[in-house]
Amino acid sequence: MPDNILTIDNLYVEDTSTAILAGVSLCVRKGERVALVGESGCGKTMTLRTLLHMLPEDVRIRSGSILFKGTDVLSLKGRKRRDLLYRQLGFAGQNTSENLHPLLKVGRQLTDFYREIRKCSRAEALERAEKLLVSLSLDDTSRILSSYPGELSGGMRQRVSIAIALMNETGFLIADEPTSALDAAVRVQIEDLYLKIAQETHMAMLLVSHDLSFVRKLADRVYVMYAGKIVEEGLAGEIFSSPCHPYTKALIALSDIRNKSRDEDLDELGGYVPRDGRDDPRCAFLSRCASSCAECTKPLEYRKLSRTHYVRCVL
Amino acid sequence: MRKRFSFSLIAGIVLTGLIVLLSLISVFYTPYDGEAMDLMNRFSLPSAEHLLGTDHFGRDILSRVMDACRRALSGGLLSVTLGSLLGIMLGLAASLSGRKTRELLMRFTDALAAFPTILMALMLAAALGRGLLPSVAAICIYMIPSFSRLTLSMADEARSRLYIKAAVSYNVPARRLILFHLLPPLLSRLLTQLTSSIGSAVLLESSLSFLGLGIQPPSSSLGMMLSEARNYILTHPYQAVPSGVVLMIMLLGFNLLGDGINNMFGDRHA
Repeated sequence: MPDNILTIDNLYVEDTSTAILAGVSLCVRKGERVALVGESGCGKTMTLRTLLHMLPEDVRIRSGSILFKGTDVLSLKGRKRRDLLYRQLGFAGQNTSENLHPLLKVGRQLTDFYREIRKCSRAEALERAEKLLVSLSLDDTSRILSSYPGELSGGMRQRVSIAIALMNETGFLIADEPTSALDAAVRVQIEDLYLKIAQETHMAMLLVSHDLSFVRKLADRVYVMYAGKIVEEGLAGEIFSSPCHPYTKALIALSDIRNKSRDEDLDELGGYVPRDGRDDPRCAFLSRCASSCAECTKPLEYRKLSRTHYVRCVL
Repeated sequence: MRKRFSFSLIAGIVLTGLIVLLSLISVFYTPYDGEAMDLMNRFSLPSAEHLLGTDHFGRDILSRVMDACRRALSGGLLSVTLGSLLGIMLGLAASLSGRKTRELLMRFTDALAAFPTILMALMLAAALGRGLLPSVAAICIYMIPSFSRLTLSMADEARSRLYIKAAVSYNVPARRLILFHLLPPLLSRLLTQLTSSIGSAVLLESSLSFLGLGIQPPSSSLGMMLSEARNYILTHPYQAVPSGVVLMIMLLGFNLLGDGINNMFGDRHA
């Protein structure tokens, strides 16, 4: 498909002992906002890291392909990979204090790469950075630009990460857990910020998140990931109004906790995401599934429910 | 945010400054020749003539202490600088190399750490002859493991951080990666370790010369002066005071300085 920005096809990633991703396929089309959801440890971040060539040590790509703007990213090396990836997508990492270089001023970290691409002066780049920070609802921009990351609050650092991703106007934004590790007030601000970016720029986005209420507001399409596989995909409307996979249902139920009255029982999802046996073609969710049946132990097909809605479950 | 200039930093600077000043002056000037004996004037207490008194050979204690400070300081600085450089390089190499090389390097470090320093100093003294050089070498070897382990653990931790991953993914050349991205955030911690290490190097040097392994008479060293004063501790207890107090000031100064530097960089440790 020519209008695909990103196509990940049947990606297998493993570490020394076991598979981490077992056949992940997804695509992002031009101007489309796609969310990848699932619990911690499902392989969401690992999928992004494979694309960005930031895998941890001991983790290897076994098979599969990643096409980004028509070029196979995995076979590229050195300068070519750098030019393809870093000039054409923006990446905002998880909000930990460890993402930014602790000894470089924020202004420098924002402008370095912009200057390398545009070949422009420091002053021009700083001006662009300042405008960008203002549009991300930060005031006192000159102070922020001359601070070290350790001197900023978590919300500010998150905005700075987003600014770094937006700096080069790449038209494609990848964000890893944009709203995690933030307190409620700041989270709402960051959510609004993403909605604003989406409205104003119409840029394509790939969001990794476990915050379904945020995903519901922002995403056009949703992939649900479990134990290294995509278990359900569909338009956001389809996923939220008629979820098919029990795991999707459980995630949605959990995200609705806030709307429940106090004396109602919480539908807690017991157990953990399995670490081993991810390349087994049978259902990985079986041990935690509330609605399993005899059919469930057979190898699974990726079933088509509608033109856009697919599920990896017999139900 | 913490106070940039804490009490320990200022106290550390003042105390080490005092020692450094004494050492620097001793290069050009000491009140008397620290090795000149005056047997008519032994065990004198502080007076206008001899500010810190004289020892059992009638030598001026102030002059001897100044010389000893210089030797302790230069020995400490030299051994810690060498040891930390070797240790940091070893730690970085271990962190950046493959599993086998890493194991090899770190087991080598373990072997160094397991070797008793005094025994090492004895062996080196036997091989190289007694004096400042073998004790500096022994202290240097003693310093390597703590620095290489610290560097290894910090470098490993830093390498999992996203800005390093991004730099690797961005194909930053190895030398630039190490010098610009990996090492600088570790420097504040290493500097703290370095400063406190000078204190322990000085102490170790004093222990070695106390045992007669380090600097040889008639040159003075703090440990040796303490060792000599021990013989007269019952009859002339004052003899142990000057060298003991100066050694204490030195250790306190470097430890406070390390503490202060740690505080100063505190909010950038991230």
